[in-house]
Amino acid sequence: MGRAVASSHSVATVPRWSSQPGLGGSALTLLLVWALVIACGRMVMTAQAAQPGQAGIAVGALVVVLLGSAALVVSARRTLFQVMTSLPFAVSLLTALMLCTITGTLVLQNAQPDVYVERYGADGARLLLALGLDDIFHTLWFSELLGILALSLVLVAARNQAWRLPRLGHLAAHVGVVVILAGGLIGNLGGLKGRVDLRVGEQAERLVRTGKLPQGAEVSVPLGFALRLDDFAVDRYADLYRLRTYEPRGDHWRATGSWSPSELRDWTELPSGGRFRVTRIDQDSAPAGPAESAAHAAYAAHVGLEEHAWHEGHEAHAARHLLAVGEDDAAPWIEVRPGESFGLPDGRVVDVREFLPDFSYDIATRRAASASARPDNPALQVVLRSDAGEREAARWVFAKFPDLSMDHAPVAGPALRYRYEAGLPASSVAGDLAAPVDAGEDPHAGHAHGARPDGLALTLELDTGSGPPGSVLLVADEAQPLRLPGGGVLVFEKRGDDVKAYTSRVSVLEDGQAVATAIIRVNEPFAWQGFLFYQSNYDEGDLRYSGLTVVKDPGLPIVFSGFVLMCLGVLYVYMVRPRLLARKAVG
Amino acid sequence: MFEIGVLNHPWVAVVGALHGAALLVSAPALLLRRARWVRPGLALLIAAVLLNTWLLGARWVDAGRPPFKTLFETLVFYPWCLGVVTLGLVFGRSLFVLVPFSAGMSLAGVVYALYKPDVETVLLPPALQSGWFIPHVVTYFVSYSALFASCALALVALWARARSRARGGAAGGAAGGATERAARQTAVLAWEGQAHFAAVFGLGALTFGLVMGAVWGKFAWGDYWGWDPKENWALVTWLAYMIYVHVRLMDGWGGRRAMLLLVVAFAAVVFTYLGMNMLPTANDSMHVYQ
Repeated sequence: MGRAVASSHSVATVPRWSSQPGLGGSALTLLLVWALVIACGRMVMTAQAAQPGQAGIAVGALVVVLLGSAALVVSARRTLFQVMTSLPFAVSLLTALMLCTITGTLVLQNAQPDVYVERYGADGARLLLALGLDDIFHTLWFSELLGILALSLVLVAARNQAWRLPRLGHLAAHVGVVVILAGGLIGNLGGLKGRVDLRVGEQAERLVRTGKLPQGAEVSVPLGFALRLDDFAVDRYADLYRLRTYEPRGDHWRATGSWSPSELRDWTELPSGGRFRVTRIDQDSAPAGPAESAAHAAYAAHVGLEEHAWHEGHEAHAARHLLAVGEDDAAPWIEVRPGESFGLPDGRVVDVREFLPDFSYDIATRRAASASARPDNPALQVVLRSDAGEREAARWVFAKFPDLSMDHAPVAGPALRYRYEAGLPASSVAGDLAAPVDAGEDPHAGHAHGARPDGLALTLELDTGSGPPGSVLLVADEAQPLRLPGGGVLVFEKRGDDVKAYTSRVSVLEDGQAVATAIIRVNEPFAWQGFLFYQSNYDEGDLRYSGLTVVKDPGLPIVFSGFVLMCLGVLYVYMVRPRLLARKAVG
Repeated sequence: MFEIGVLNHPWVAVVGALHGAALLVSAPALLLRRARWVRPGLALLIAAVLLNTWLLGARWVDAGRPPFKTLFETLVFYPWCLGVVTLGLVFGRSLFVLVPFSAGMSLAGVVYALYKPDVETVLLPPALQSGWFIPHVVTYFVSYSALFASCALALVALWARARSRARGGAAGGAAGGATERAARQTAVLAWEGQAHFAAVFGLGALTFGLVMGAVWGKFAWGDYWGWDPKENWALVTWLAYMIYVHVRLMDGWGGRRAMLLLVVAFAAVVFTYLGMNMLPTANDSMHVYQ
């Protein structure tokens, strides 16, 4: 097939520079320059240690880096300039950046020190922490590597060849990267990030800084105006009910089919064989009465299932939440239910608030939510309070991550351990099929604690292929599945409350007068006097609360200019350069 | 889950079957190096792309949002992008050789999709409701398509070079040998040029995708860049192709080594797309497919 293709295309012209240094020498030069810069940075840090001030240190380091490099260039002018603008040097630099980035994805970032000890041993962890590999992208040495990248790009741009017409695209792309890095540095030094937490009607004049703060930095920063939350709304998607089938896969339940009840008027195939259709949808159904129970029994007998598989099965396998207080492994497990409280021997009270079967924390919106109805990451929100009424901040405890707890604020309370025992089937998935929960040991067990029946019920007609179709009632309760022949289940359940939008309406007040109003949504920040306000948090338990992230970034226009420059450079390389080269070739 | 996938998405399975047929029909043409034999495979590929266009459109209308939110959806969307890019290269640059590669990759994507089917339409969370969602994702998948083409063409170039070397050794010395050798050498360089074209196109798209992601990040949560594992691997991929464009200009690196680098770099693409769950840092990621 080579014949069909090869003809018209000319191989790209390959410019070559004379006296190109070798790859090994270039890599060595990079390492030497880098080591020198790191040493200079260290010296500046040590010198500045007496007077802390992150900005000063960073600027000092930058100046040293630039001056040191400039001195190097001047002292060994031709050779070092040549090396640092050479292709092998570029390749070495890019490779070094790539290796650092890969390392940052292989080593857990910003974990607790004991996590590293567990993974790498005491010595390994010490070395790793000393090198800053636990937060690689915020180490000075990584920033210094980026500094060397910027320097080398500047030097490349300073070459004569770089300014020739056909190479202007390459020049723009290279300079674009420098501009982006410069803008990022300015944003880091002169900007800040924080949050404003408001309830409807409240106003804030200050923001609270978040993240790693420079030493001695003020945590609370004035905005220069007041921001008032006029209204907050959480919009949710409609179409809340689903009829789903699940089948056991290993130790998990897997969803194999999903339908909206309204689309099931016609016979629909079941993934496990057989077919069904909805003959009736009832609102506000009463608990199953004798008639329905009889219908279930008749159905069960009809399809050859044990009756308890449907009617009592859910009772024997209800999901349970168990908490143990204190570090002691022997501490007793107490069964709890969301919405209830229990007292501790020392007089304190634990309020159990919310249960999320599949905890996930959305960093964009800064809120906890359930990623699915499956108990893949069961989490329980609890609040400890003393009998005097003193409240701790709410915290999340995780069944799968006993060492982790996610707090709204640092908590000094006792350790809490949480055990989740999945119902069978709990809404859908997970849970060890081989070891169903033993409900016998606790008299309180045996109630469904998952989603409660929601007042909707379906009457289904089922045709499993063996004998005539049978009719069965299914209520909207994930804890009351319908067992299907072949091991699967059919569940009528309320879908998790999928949020469509979070909307904050805010006013800017100056001297008590409203001077502007705005709507803030995720992806739609509001800009005012150099601050950007982002919708980032909400509280399912308090829908009058809205959390905003505040960012001040003086580097933003510079970074965006760098983006534009880089993209224009790429477009130039594609669209303008070939024409220039073609004209030259013709000429 | 494969049967479940087929049951829930029979038409996606048909797209896969068309790609499979295209692969079967066109692979012999590649191995026997008969360009014209590719045409039936090309027709099947076009049919697969057309059917997939209809499927994606229907899903878009049905879901009321772009059909590339979940892993399953992207695994159906990627073959579409790959098909379109392949057809562009076939008709624009006569790269018929790409047909079996593209069909094979698309088949792999669809089969994987059917192992990971969505049983219901996932709703679009607020974080993805942005004007950047479509251009960011589409640009990336166009890029991944072009980069796959560059990988395939690099393999062809490597193969041509190996054949050229083997023939050169056997025929050496004959009078006609010199011109023949020169012709073979030209063919190798031509394949390398084609691979380079696709790589540079893919790298440009990668750059745009990266920049769009950074701008979107700034508007969504206030940061251009969060050092998230997926972002980091997107950067690794970008750096790998940056290394390629610099390396190939170095003395002695332009031919075989540069082509090998293109093959390795595409492995980084695949890892960035599908390998994130293997990373210890994946739990903290905002980008990893659930």
